[in-house]
Amino acid sequence: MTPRRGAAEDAIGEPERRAGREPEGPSRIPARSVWFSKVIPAVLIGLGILMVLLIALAAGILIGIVPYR
Amino acid sequence: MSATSVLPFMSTLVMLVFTVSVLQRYRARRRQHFLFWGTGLAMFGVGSFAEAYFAVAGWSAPIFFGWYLFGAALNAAWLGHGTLLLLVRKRWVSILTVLLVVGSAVAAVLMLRVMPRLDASQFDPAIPISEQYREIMPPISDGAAVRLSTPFFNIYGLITLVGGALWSGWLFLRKRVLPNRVIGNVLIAAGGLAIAFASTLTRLGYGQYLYLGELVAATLMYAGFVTASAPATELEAAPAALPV
Repeated sequence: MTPRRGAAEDAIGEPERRAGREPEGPSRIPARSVWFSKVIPAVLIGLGILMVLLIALAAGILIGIVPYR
Repeated sequence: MSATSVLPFMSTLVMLVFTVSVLQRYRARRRQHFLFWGTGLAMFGVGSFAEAYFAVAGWSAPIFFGWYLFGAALNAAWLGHGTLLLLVRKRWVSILTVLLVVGSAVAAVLMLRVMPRLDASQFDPAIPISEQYREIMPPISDGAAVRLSTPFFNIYGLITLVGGALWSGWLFLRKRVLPNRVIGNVLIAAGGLAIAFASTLTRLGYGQYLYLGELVAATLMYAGFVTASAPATELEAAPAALPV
């Protein structure tokens, strides 16, 4: 099925950029934003670690390593 | 009214609004990921509604069927699969789609087989269903095979929904575009983790946190969806899906 190119609001996770174009304005992350340079990356990494831990815990429950009621 | 009845009602309302929003988008654009998201969200809503029903109206076997099959077992996998459909357009995803649908049908059959063996005398309307379902359902060793399928669906949903949202957020962040989608994906991932954490606690025997976890998850995911779906400028194209 050929991917349909439609309105961008369809996509929550389609991140490719049109080659050679640099969007400006509110769609661009500010270069000096502490929020997007430090806080958000730390949050993403933290959530990723939590996800891995939860997967490990769930797998442990599944194979009987982790006791449950 | 206690938290046992208020929290699931609130989750149900949030999920109703969320489900309608997503299914409206599916109707307008006919993209498969909206259908799977909408179905997963509807399942989540059925689970929340069932919890509210138990608190207010008491025991009902059909409601328990809906609670366990849709609320406990399937919703995470369908939500996560929608994210996978959005991010990856390869043939193997179609195979996973078939596996998910067939697996869900098998789980439904297994749940139907358990229904005649539910022990409704163990039900207490004052206690969340998440804290007493083990006493109501027979154990896995006694034929409740549907309980074995739940972790597989939930782990799949955790990886695809949360992992997909984190991956998307990271890519937008790396490219330094569409900050609303970075934030939106963070909120969606946080919501997915909230319900995954609450579900894991339930499986470990601490079901009193499930209702709060559901409301937190519903609110975060809806907020993430609204944030990420904010209209982009005309300079943003609709990019192709990631090759994986």
